[in-house]
Amino acid sequence: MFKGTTTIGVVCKNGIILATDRRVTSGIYVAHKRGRKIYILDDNKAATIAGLVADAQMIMDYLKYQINLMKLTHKLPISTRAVATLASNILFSSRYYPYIVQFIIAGMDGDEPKMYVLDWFGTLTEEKFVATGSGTPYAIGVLEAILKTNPTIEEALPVIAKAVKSAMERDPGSGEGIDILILRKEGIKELSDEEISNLLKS
Amino acid sequence: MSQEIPIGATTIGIVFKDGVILASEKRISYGLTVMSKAGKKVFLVNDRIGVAFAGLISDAQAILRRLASEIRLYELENNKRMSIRSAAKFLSNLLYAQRPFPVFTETIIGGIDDEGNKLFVLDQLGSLLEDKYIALGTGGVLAISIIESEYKDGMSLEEARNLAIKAMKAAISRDITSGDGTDIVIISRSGSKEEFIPMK
Repeated sequence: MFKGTTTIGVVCKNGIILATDRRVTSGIYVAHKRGRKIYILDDNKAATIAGLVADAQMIMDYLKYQINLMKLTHKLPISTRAVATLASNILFSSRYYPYIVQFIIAGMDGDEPKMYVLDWFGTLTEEKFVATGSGTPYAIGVLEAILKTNPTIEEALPVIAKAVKSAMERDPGSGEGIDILILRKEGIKELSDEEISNLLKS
Repeated sequence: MSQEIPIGATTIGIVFKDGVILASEKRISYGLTVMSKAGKKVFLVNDRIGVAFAGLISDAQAILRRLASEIRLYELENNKRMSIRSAAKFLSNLLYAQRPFPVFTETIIGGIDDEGNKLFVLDQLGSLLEDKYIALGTGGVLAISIIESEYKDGMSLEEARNLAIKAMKAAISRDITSGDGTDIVIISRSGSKEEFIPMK
């Protein structure tokens, strides 16, 4: 099973927004209509997945486990960069038999929002706004055109919803609805279906 | 569901008010030859857990043996029932361990436990998704359209059973690699059973 997928991550002044569609495909068959593509890794960290579902699920489980273990053994909060580097090492360790995944890993390190993107081979880059998955060209086009530099969460939300919606219109690998997660210093909040449909109206 | 699997089948799972229902047709075909009309693709692992497969029968049987014995062992060692989620996760890990040389099966695992009535689907590599109704195999696309148009939350056993039969009939009539009757497994709060329904 494959996540054709559109996922978006945007770093804002006061937090980070992650957004995804919900469609899971197997070839041209819609295998699931409420696929979960956002993983909450920690109190203040989350990730999105795109690509082969089995690979992504296993790596997400492993990251969650390692984050817990590190918190228990070091008794210190783990930085988002460290989680992203761990994921990068996992991916690169399989360089010649790659995990077919793309991740956005985001987290609040105290007040500071941080977001990293990983590809199949473990390439790790820090980004301000990004899209992954088959819907990327459509979504990134909307973000490039409308998104302000260094936006607030309130400014970015409607643009992000619009970007995912545009990708769902033209990318058959994406569809079925939108999930949006907001990371703030105070914690993680997920938008309800109603809040998302209001965003699309505005 | 997946087109990589060379062997046809139709396998479905539906959650209803008091449990889950799993069904598979009985044909084993290799290309255009019917090798067997008595293939069994849906099983009661114990009175609360059932699995159903689409794909290569040998792989399915090997997975079943391993899964059934591990569940039994867990229940003996821990003196408690294994949750459906745990069984599904175990199966997911089992499949993912063979990531370089995957099995040619897709699996539905379902049953009842303290969490409720649960149904999960796994692909060849072990991706794990929960759903209310699932259809797999070459006939899966035919079956799912029937199920999707009539499924309701909180269906009775009778309604769910009728829907399963209707979906299987539709798949069998249009998918040449599915046929020769349907095995049904019903797992419900009022008991579990297997039955066979002849179909043309």
